[in-house]
Amino acid sequence: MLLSTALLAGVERSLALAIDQDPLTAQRLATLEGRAILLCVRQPDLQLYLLPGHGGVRLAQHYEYDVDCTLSAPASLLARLALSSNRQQLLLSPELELTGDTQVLVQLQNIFNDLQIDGEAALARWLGPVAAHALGNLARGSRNWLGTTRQSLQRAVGEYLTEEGRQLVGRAEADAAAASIHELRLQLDRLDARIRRLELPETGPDDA
Amino acid sequence: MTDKSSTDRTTHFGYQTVRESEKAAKVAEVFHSVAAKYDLMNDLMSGGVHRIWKRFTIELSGVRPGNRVLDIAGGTGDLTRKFSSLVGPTGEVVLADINASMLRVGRDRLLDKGVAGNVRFVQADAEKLPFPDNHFDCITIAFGLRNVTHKEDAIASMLRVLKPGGRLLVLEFSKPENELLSKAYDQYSFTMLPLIGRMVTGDPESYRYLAESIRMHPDQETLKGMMETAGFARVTYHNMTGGIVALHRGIKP
Repeated sequence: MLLSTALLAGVERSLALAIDQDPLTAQRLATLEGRAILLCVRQPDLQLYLLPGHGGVRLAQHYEYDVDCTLSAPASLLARLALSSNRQQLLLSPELELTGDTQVLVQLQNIFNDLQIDGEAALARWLGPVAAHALGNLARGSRNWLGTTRQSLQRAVGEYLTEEGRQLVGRAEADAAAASIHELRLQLDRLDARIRRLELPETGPDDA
Repeated sequence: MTDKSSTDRTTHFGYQTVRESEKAAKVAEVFHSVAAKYDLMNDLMSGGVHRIWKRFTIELSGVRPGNRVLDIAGGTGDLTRKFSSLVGPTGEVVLADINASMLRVGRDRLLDKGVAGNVRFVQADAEKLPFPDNHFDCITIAFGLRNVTHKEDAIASMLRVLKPGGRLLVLEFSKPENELLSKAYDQYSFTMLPLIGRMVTGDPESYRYLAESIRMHPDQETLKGMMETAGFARVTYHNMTGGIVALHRGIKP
């Protein structure tokens, strides 16, 4: 019990620190004050209440009042739901049960999707605006360089494997081969259907 | 309360037996001595676990926006700070402590952290709470009940000021469930605590009192019985850290 309480305290603290960096998120969370979402996690079994409100989201294992919405799912699915960009698809999973006012959950999800952490502002509190801006520029420059380098590397490796080394086929060739295979599969299906039709006993007009 | 019978009656102050009239002053001395470094000592003595015990207390309190909460023996205001944000601007939290030094440290600390507006500070004796009947939605007393001279009177006083349906939460040191843990805990309490007390506050006696007063405090079942006798309903308790600390909860019918 104490371990899970400590863990929840840590997660709640981290969330509060993140929300502190985005005043708009804090304001939007305040509109959900008094609402409660129950997460029923399966495998392992765990009940967790999300209590959004002014200044953050409280995480609790005990809550004595009615909840607005209950989300029940295996832990693995909830983890995917938290991390995936394609949440709508996951929400249709048969393993997931959602009851109550689902809008509360959707609103909370949207608020966290829009969370933009201003790291430079956080740094400025400690280092001052000039140093924070310099570090921010450095971080942004590094991120851009890493992004560009990753794209460039992907393209170069792809070209080498397809054009120079001839280890892999190119995308155009692969697409053409896939289209041919698809067409061949359709033809086989048609042929199969025709053979089955020919194998049926012939029925004349008198049988009708 | 100056009649002969009351001055002759005795009670415990740690392992010592003292006159009832002297206990409050002796407890006050202890807390005057440790007030300035109370939080640091709590962290050192419990390894920070006291924060988790308090968090669990807040979870079970069920406090909501608009509620009126009394934090008795609130000391340096750990619980009050959290309750203040939970009850919001429409609610109220009263931080009460019999000890002026502790109350001053708590008030300064809360104001420094910007906790104000819905918090009041009252120097009050838990046995004679200066509040109207049926006034609070929730009362908490964390690590304070064992220092009260007449525990039954304090529990009755809390019952009086609670609203019907209101909750009393008593967070207090208790009796470890496991014999081995109990022995290790005794060793820790009577050797390490006074040592830490000597190093940090220069006052090992206050921390020896702490260890002794814990041993003299009623165990889980006894305290539960006391709350039921006072008139609380649905009294339950949760052992934490193997029973070193227990959280009792009762509802005013």
